[in-house]
Parts: sequence; C-alpha cells; structure tokens
Amino acid sequence: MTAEPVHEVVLTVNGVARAARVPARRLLSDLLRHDLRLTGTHVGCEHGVCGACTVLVDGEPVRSCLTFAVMVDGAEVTTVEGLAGPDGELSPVQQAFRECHGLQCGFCTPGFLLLTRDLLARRPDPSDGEIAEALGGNLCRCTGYVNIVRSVRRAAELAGEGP
Amino acid sequence: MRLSTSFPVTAPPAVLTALADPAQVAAALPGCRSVEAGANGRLVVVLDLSVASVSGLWSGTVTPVDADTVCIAGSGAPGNVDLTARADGDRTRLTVEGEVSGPLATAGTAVLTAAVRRLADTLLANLAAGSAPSASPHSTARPDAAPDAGAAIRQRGPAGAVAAAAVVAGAVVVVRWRRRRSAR
Amino acid sequence: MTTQWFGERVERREDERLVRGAGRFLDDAGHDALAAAFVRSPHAHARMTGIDVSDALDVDGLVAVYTWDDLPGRLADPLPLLIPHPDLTHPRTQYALARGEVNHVGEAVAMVVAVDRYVAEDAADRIVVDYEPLPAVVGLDAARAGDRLVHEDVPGNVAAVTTQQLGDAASAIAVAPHVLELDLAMERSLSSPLEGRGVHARWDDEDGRLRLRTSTQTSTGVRAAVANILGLPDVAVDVITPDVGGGFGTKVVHPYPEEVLVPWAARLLGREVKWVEDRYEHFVSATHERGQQHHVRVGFDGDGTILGLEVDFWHDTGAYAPYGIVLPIITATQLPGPYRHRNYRVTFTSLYTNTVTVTPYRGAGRPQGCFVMERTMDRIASALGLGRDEVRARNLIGPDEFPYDFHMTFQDGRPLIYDSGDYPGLLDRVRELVGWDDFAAEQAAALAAGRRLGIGLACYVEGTGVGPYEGAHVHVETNGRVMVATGLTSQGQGHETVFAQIVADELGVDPGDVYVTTGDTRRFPYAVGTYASRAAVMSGNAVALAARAVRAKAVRIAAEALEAAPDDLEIAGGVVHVRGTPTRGIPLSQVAVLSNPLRYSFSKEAQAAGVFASPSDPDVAPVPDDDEPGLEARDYYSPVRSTFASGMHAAVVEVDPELGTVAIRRYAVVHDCGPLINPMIVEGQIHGGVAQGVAGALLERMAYDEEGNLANASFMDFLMPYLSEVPTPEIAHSETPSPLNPLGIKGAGEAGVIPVSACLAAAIEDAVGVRMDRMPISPPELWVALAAREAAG
Repeated sequence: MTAEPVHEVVLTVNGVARAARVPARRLLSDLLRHDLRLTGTHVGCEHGVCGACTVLVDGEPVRSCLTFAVMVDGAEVTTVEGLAGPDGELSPVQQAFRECHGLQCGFCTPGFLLLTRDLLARRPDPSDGEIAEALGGNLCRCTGYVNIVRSVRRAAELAGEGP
Repeated sequence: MRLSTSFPVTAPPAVLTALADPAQVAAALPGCRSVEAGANGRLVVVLDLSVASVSGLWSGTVTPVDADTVCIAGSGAPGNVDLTARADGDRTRLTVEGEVSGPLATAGTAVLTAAVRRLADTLLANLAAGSAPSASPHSTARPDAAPDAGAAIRQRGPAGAVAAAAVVAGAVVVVRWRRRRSAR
Repeated sequence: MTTQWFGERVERREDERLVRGAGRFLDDAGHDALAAAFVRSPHAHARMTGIDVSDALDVDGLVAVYTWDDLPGRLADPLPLLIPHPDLTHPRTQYALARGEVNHVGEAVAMVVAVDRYVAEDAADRIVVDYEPLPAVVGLDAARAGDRLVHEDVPGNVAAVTTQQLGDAASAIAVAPHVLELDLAMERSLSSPLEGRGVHARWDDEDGRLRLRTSTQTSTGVRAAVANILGLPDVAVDVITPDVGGGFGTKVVHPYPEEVLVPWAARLLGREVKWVEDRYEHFVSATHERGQQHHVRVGFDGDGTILGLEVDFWHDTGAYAPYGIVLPIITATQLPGPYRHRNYRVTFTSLYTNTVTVTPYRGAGRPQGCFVMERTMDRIASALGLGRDEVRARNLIGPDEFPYDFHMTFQDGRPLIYDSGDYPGLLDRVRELVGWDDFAAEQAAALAAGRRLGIGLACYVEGTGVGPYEGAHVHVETNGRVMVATGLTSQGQGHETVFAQIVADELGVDPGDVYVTTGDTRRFPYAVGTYASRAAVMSGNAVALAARAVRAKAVRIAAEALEAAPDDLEIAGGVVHVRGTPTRGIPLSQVAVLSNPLRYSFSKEAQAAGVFASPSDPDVAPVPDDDEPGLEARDYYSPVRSTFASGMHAAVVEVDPELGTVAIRRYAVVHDCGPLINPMIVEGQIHGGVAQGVAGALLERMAYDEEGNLANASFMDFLMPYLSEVPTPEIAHSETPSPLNPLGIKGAGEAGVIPVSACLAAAIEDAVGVRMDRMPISPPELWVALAAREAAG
C-alpha cells in the first residue's frame, strides 16, 4: 500500500490564513488539532453526536469530526481559540461561562461556547426555548446543563452591555 | 525476541533448478544486493531489508548444519538475527526458530512471523516466475524481467514486506536444495 | 485574617484556560508520537486459535503489532488485583493482551503501532484473528444459573460471597408483626466522560526515565503499577495527569492494559507512543457499573419501625474483578441509609459474566443500596397505609445519636460509624422544598384534569473521604507565589480553586497568588486518588495542614526579623505584620528569602530582605538541626475513618400513560456535606450528579444481547441525556460539620446521583400505581406495564 495522495487545503482559521497538505480522508478536527495545533477543539465521540468538536465554518456550526478537511478549502473557520478579543480579553460568552460555572471538566465546553456565539449572533436575546433548541444537540456529562443555560442567558446580558 | 514459525512452502522442479543458481536467487530475493558462495556450502547474503518501519542494509551468513538444517546469523542496521531453519515434511514445510534482536525485534512476533513467510513465498514465487511463464500472485516480477527481478522488486516491491529473518529463511530454502543437488 | 475565602463562590482558576481552548488534555500534546490502536475481541467468550497479520504488512507506516506472545516479564502476567479481600475466593484479572481466551467483547487482543491513528486502524482492520466461540454468560440470570462458565476454574461463576450483620435479623423478622419480601434490580450503565481514556508515553533513554501522561483518576497508582510491571525504579517513572475531561469513576482503574502497554512500547521502540480511546472503545473496554439483583425481607411493626432487615443480592462484576468486591461492600454497608437498624443481615454474591469488567461509577454501589432501602420504605408505608415521609421519620437516626455505630466494616476496612448529621432536619427541608404537604391536593386537581402526577422521596447517607491519606506540599516562593501540590487528580471538580481558597485563608494571601498542581508525581509522589468523594476532605485537609505549617514557619521567621512576639503577628494581604500595626510588617515573599540562608540577589525581594537579616549567632548553624531552608512544608491528612454526608431528594413527575413518558416537573435536593468550601462548585456537582441519576433512572442502560454483543455502543444508541432531558434542581444546603477533620468537611462529588433512581421510581409509582421494582424504566417498558395492569383490570 503506497502513501496516500495528499491535497492542499487553504483556509482561514480565526482570521489567519492557513494551509496544509492532507489526505482526502483527514477529518477537519484532526486538521485543526494535529496539523494546525489548535487543540481547543475537542473530539468526544467521532460520530457527530456529542458536538464537542463544533466549530463555525463560514459562520455556521459544524461538527468537525464529521467534516473532511478538504471540504473546508477556501472556508473561514472559527474555533474556540478565536473567541477572545484582539488583546486576549475574554468574549462575553467566555466570561459568562466562567462567571456562571458553566463548565466543569471543560472538555465539551468549546462546542457549547461556539454554539452560544452562533445563537447570540442570530438572537441577541434568546428565549429559553431558543436556548434549548440551539444547545440541545450537544452533550455535557458534568454540569447537568443547568449552569450552561444560565451562562447563555448571562452571555446575552454581557453582550448587551458591551460596547 | 524469540521467533518460532512453521509454514508450508511450494517449490516445483523449475524452482529447484533456479535455486541452484546464486545469480537467479539474488535476483529473486527482494532487496538482495548479493549472494556469494563461501567455503563449506556457506552463503554470504547482503540485502536492503525493510520490515514494517524498520529498514537498512543487512548482511549475514547461512551455514549448513546437516542435510535438513542451516544456521543463519547476521546483523546490520535492522538488527541481529540468529536463527536455525529446518526443512520438514519432505520439503513441504519450513520451520524457522531462534532469536532476533535490535530494531527488527521491536516490530512484534506476529509481524516478523508474517514477514518470514511472506519472504519465503515471494522468493519462491519470483523464482517460479523467472523460470516459468505463470507468475505467482505474490510476485511483482514479470517473467521478462527475470534477469533483474531483484532490482525490479527493490524498485516496485511491496513496501515493508521483507524481513531479515525472512530473507534468511528464503536463503535456507536455497541452501537446502543446493545441498541436496550437490549430494546427488 | 481579613478576608475569608472558605465558603465564597469564587470563580474557578481552571476556567481561564479552559474557556480559551488552552487546556491541556491528553490528546492535545504528542502530535508527532506514534499512534496505537487495538484489535479487540468481537466475541464475548472465545478461544483464540491464531492471528495472521500478513495483510497488515502492506500498510505503509505500520511500525509494530504486539500480542501476548511479545510481552516480557510481569507484563505477561495477569494485571494486578487492586483490592484483595479474604472473601474474594476466585479473583480473576485480565492479561494486558488476551492470552488464548477472550472474555468480553472489546477485550484487547493485539496492539498496533503506526505513524498515525489512521494508519494504525488500517493495519488493525487487516489483522485476522481466529476464534473458536464459547458459550457466553451474559447478565445476572445466566451467571446465577451457573451452567455456563466465564472462567473454567470458577465454579458457578462465583467470585466472592460475603455476609455482614448487625444483631439477629432472621429472629427479629420471625417475630415481627409485619413482614414483606421484595425483589429489586438495577441495570448496568457506565461513566462515559466526554473525554475517553488516553495514554501518552515518552522514554528518555539518556536519563533512563519514563514520562507517562494518562487520563487517570490516580497518577500515583498508575506510577506504582507501571514501575512494578515494567521493572523500573519508581523514581524513574513520572506520571502526569493532564487536564482530564471527566472521569466519574471509570478512570480510577489502574492500570488499564493500555497504561502499561503504551509505555512498554514507547521504551521498546524508542519513540513517543500515544493511544487515545475512541468512543466505541470506551463502551467496550472502559469499565461499567450498577448491575445488581436484590432480594429483601423486612420485618416491621405497626407504626413502620423496622425490626429486622435481610438482604441477599447478586453483583455482576463482569469478566474480571480487578477492583475486588469494593462495590458490593459499598452497597451492603450504605444500604441502611439514615435509618436506625438493630438487626440487619446482608449477603452478596459477586458473579462473573462475559461482559465488560465492573468497577465504580459515580455513586459506586450506593444508588443500588439506596434504591433497595427506599423502595422498602415506600412498600412498608403502602402496606401500613402510612405516609411515606412518616415511616421514614419514625426510623431516622436522631441528631443526638451520633456517633452512630453499625458494628459493620465499611469499604475502607474501617468501622461503619456515622460521624454527624441532622436527618430529621433534612426531611423537613426537602418536604418543604418540594411542597410535599400540599401535593395531595395538587395531584387530585391534576388527575381531575386528566394528568397523572406523582411525588417521590429518597434519602441517603454517603460515606465520603475514605482514607488512608492524602498529602500536600505548600511552598511560598521568593516572588510571593504560593505553589501548592497535592497528589490526587482532578477531572473537573475545581480543585485548583477550592484548594487555593483553603490555602489563601490559612496563609492570608489572595487565592489568585496560589497555584495548585494536582496529579503530577514529580510534584507530589504520595497520594491515593480521586474517587469516593474524597478529594476535598482528604487533600483539602492536607493542604490546610501543610499551609498551617508554612504559616507557623513564616510567623517564626518574621517574628525574629520584626523583633516581635510570634503571637502578636498575623498574616493578611500576603504580609506578616504586627496585629493592629499594618505598617510594621514583612511580605511573605521576603520571609521566603529569609528562610533560606543562601541569598543571591536574584530578585529585588532578596535584595530587600537584607534589611531584615538578623545578626547571626556564631554558635548556631545557618540551618539549625530542627529547621530546613525554604518557606515550605509538607503534611498529610489521614482520618481514622470516613465521614458521612447525607441528603434527601424529592421529585414531582408527570407520566403520560399514552406514551409511557416521564416528565420531571420539580426536583428538590437537600444536601449536607458539612461546611461548603465553594457553594458554586458544590451546586455544580449536585447538578451533574442529578443529571447522571436521571440518566440512570430513565435513559441509560447497556443493551447486551444474549451473545454478549453490546448493541448500543455509541452515542447514537446509548441515551446520554441532552439539555432537554435534565431537570433544574432546587437545592438547599445543610451544614453539619464533621468532627473527624480539621475543616469539618464532607465529600460532595457523588451525592447527586445516589437517590435519583429511588426517588423517580417512587414518584412514577405514585403517579400511575404500577410497582417500580427495577430501574431504569423506559417509555416502552412503562407503557407495557400500564397496559398489563389495565388488561388485568
């Protein structure tokens, strides 16, 4: 069996142009984590159910463990590393999760942070139903979700107060 | 590590004839650089070895012990080999036992065992392909490439498919039949 | 002390990195390491007759394939039995790689190492293992039948039989006015942390050292196991626990096969090797828990007072028993709950099955014990026509009855003696919180509107903070940073925060100046691990003791420098000063400089410290016999026995009889873990525990078929709850200090999960009148039960 053919992928990750040569079967999650060394995106199930690996591709939440790296050629990807402000200040979503104890082990957290960011971009003041709808497809084993929901509400408040 | 394996081999008359010719053997032995006859039936083999991710130049000797058994000893970047090989069951089986150390030994018993067998099969199949029109499924050498089958295999052979121990086991087959032939 | 951090809702130190994606989990490093993948058994029970890796040879990037034949020395022996017990007459543990026989689907058969995981799996897929299937023993019924054996040399599949007793239960029941018998069961589940297991090893040939990172709950345990099995000196093995994405019990097993195989391969190959468990592997090779069947006989009098209780139960230990019989011992000893028992006998049989090995999962035998005791209480109430709260109240141990001695032996081998609590107070509070007294009217009104509401209640006592010890090292550096190390590990409990709070109070510094390291054997080599709700109690007290020793030393040094009496000094804001005279003080950073007679002027603190240098006595050595350089101390906390937390849950559910679904309308938790170090974190623990409890009651089970295949080994089919399935509990705290430790605290990690199945079973039963004798209950099961009752008229 000879070495697999590789394909060049050029994309923008957190505003920075990146390129990598990857086999066609390489997952976006592996591209981000192991080729680009952006390990904030976590992989919890490798079959698209837990949502820990969620990133934004051209603004839409995507499960990076179900996406081939070659599929995001030319795309704009946002990972958890891209959430903080230009000077490293925590975004309202990150601040809110910390304030409300919206994470324990922190493994599922990047997925929830990106879903929340996406939700608040669409719905700055989401209802409980909208929060449940937006976050209802990601798994957390630590928090029982109680403080995750509180964090989303608080993030909406903080974002509303923001500049 | 200890290696111990026994497996069936097939050597039709045409292959037996080919085994008499060190040049043909050298050409058919994957990765082989040279096979030279030494004193008292001893063979000196030099080859580029590649087993899993272990590869490098290896040289060794094949020394007859009795009509059915040879000792194989050698070393090189891939590691050290100290094996005995025995032809069993009226040439229908080859049994290889002994010690392998160095990088080769890190690939695991199952890998070395499979590689030994793969090599013996490949050698015999290449010889068959070189001496008869029908190529074995294992062979990557075309009949018309027989004069430089070894070179062809070096260039195109399956990566990671050849073990030092296996090379030596293949050589055992050679020696075994050479000795039988000279005894006649 | 001007500020009290203990008891405050301090935001977590951990979160700064975790919300940035800057945590360091196992798979976040070692990008260039070789990758391991495992060939695992597809059979529950089979003999292995051969393995052929020929096809794998063609995979470009293959490095090695290992089977049991390759394992040297002790690595070829069965893995250790962690906790032997005299009654464990037939202990069996697995080989690191199966030797000739496999005993559950998922057992590791061969280890493949390759340049990356993709290639390793390609090669693993091409390996052919020949099996001769053997009859599989799946589930407790099959194990109890004993006609098929998991291990040929274990008759009846019985690993252990144990009895413990208090008084004479049989005689008490014989003369009791009322006697009931019940059969109660609970099914299997698993911890299922979002991050699976993982191991990353690097052998440094020049130093002769092994560095092992593993996603474990006990780094010191892994270190001892690996050093012993690989024949290395303990001091040549460093085990580092990175950020761990949840554990919930399953990661306390040590060593897992991968934890010894990966470092062995790394050393053999002279290359870094990493293995990261995938989700399927987690389902079939990380340990499970909970499967038990129980038979209860209880004798009681007319007012519901229990006179005698006999429980026989059967515990499914899976294919092996590395953890001994700790789990059934916990069930046996925690089953009595908060109730007064005079006559109690419990006998359990631990049985092998051809399924994944069983070791503790959050709650660890307690959910089953609680289910048995609480269902029994409900049945007594029902038999006598009394209130369920009333029957419980009659049996509760009173606040003045502590210490309450059961004259039994707890999981840690120490006496089962409850240290403190206020159980009647908890009952009053939970009734109030859930609206118990007004519920009958609510239920009737709902029924009139066609809605089936029910209420349930369940009480538990949880032994926490089991020994034997934990230790801590506290070091004030000359830059003023307080470096704290404790050996046990963290999986999201916020240890960096709560231990910093404790140290901040003891040393009079800001928690922001306290840096806590857990689970790194380089920093603290003696530890037990994080399980049994013990971290806060054990390491919390250890860091307090070590910080107190540092404080005493700081005060002594500062007293000399300030020419003041030690008793007149206090520490606040990181400055040791004369009480009432804040200007007459010396910062801890400078005290740290003074603590070391070697004072190179590396820092401005060292330069400034010269000001306070006291004239040296020519007859006293720079470091006197009873002193050590450095402002640091190490201390250990070792309790005489466990401390017992307690709590009660109550729930209101609504059952839809058409669908068999259960909706939780209210969920109330009262909880007593002594003084709370950080209420925000304790509540988070309760939220998560309740969620796992609800999951275990209504959703999660291991769907083994008769052949021992796990039919739901993915998140597609194993119903881990999402946000929509979990209630928001109302929580009230009670704080009864423990007399057993300096901080008076009790453990809180597992509490949330313990009574949920019992509580929801009671509420469902109350709603629809169908007996709930086994959990979990799925909508189809409930629907069938309701239909059966209807058919029976």
